[in-house]
Amino acid sequence: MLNSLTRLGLAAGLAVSLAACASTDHGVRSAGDRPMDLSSTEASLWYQTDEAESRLQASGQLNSDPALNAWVNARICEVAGTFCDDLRLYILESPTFNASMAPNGMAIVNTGLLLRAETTDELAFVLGHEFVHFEENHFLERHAAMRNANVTSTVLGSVIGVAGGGGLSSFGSLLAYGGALSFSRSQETEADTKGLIHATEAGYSADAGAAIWSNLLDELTASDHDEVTRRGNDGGVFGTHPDIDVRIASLTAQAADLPVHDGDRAAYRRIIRPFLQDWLDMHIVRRDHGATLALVDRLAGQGEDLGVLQYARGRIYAMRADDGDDALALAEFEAATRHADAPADAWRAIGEMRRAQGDNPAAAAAFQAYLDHSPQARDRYLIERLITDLTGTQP
Amino acid sequence: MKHVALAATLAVGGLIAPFSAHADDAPADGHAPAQYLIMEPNAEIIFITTGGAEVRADWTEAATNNLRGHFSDQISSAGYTVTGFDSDAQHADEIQQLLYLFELVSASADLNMPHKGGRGSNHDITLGETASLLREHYNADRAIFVDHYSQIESGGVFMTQVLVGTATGFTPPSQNVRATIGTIIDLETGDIVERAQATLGDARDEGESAGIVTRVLNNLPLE
Repeated sequence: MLNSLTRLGLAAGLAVSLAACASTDHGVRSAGDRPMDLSSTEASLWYQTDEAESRLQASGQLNSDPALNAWVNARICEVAGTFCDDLRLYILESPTFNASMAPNGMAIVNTGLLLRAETTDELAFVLGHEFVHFEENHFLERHAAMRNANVTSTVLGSVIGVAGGGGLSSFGSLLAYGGALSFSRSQETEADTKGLIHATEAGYSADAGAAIWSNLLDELTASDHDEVTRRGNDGGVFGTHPDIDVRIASLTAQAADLPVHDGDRAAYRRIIRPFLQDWLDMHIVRRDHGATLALVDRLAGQGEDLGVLQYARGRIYAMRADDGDDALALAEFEAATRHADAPADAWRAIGEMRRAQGDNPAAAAAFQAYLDHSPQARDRYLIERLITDLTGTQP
Repeated sequence: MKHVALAATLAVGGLIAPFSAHADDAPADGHAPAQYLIMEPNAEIIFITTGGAEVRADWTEAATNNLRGHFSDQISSAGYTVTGFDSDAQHADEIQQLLYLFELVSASADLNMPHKGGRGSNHDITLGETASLLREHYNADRAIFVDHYSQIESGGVFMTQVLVGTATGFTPPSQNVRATIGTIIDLETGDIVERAQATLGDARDEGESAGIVTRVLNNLPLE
């Protein structure tokens, strides 16, 4: 009797759970769309992203530079076309390589992405990728897939458990969530493919997609941290994104049939140049010296901004502090000062290193050069006292 | 964080002694009744289904509207002048930051801190004198902040609990939660004047929402 009741209950539970499964196909949205049914999951996601957006607006992490915001927004409009008015850009001062477009139109571009792109074409590809997630309702579909995975996991786990499967019930969960993650990876592939088309239709070069992923993969590979190094190609069955080398191969093949032209690196660098040092500083303090060195080396390969970039390289060596790094750091700081764009802090760093070596005249000269290059330095009084101590004279 | 604080409040709700004054206490000493600013209720209603939990925008909106209206009606009916916070207005950044600060103050105020004297000992946490921005903007003496959090299970979740109970002999506990907290802030000092909470009640329903507000105000001394 109990077995019959159990089977009846399981059948009822299965029916209820299956009825709770949601469709994972939400089609393509139209410009100006917003959920009319406030009881829907879509309205729930909009509500939550509206809340997140209002908090973001009050955040101190936003880059408020009008020119940069206008320029990036114009690139979004190029790839988003008629959806331009539905999207609201926020440039987030964050060193991570990321961007997103939420269902309610909140578009976030991290400065870590702007720093890593070498051309406007590469930026346009990433914006196109994120726009596909927005246009194709991927966020909503992924939410439905995860919800279905929860239901399936519960039902399969219960059925296997009640049937005496015990420890095997977790396999039900593996199957369910493995399916949801596979769905997520297929969305990323779709976003890469269609995003590249959006970017090329806006006039950007088709080889930019593979290029930005290749550069990122190099950086991840150079990381000091195993978990970061693995991040590039740890997709597997439980990854939310495909392996980067798979994405590079796919985008390279796709680009063969699309227009390709040389990207204007110098023009793009002019856009980000005012922020270059601040954005690099955010990377340096993360203390992933291998990855940051790879990034700096790549940026320096363009042959511009060498004062800023060699100063950054010097800071990395100084923070890493391996054997011989002091000499490398000093050499980089001194090389930086030979370029017109060298930050005043390069002379200060030289002063500190010379002082540590006991070379007081050289330290005093470097500190004086620092004050000459930064007359309004906040630590001016301290540096003047240092020079006095080092030389016995007033500066 | 808000949920943690509300859950903590729920857990010890039965220990709270009633406060000394009530909403229907008319000001008897001749001074003018305080002007109350009713802040936009910070409500969230979660729908728990077999597929997971999600915020219900329609229920949250209904609860927000009900609580806002009933706090305003019941306080003005008690003889106090009431002003509503205009959530659609473009306020100064400082006021927006003040609202976020209140979320932290609210979440922290009920934390049980044994080394400081236990629950309630953290009520000296304050919004600070920037609260006077609201006083100046709305010409009010005190503000009432309202937090509401509900979790509502679906029929499918209930069926699953019955199923699991039948099959294993153990019935998972209900995940239904209802909690509403009212906080009076002195807009001159930013200090918490009093906090009171009510459990149970469905804020989506207009009648039940009125009951929730009455029970909160029964434990909030208006003056």
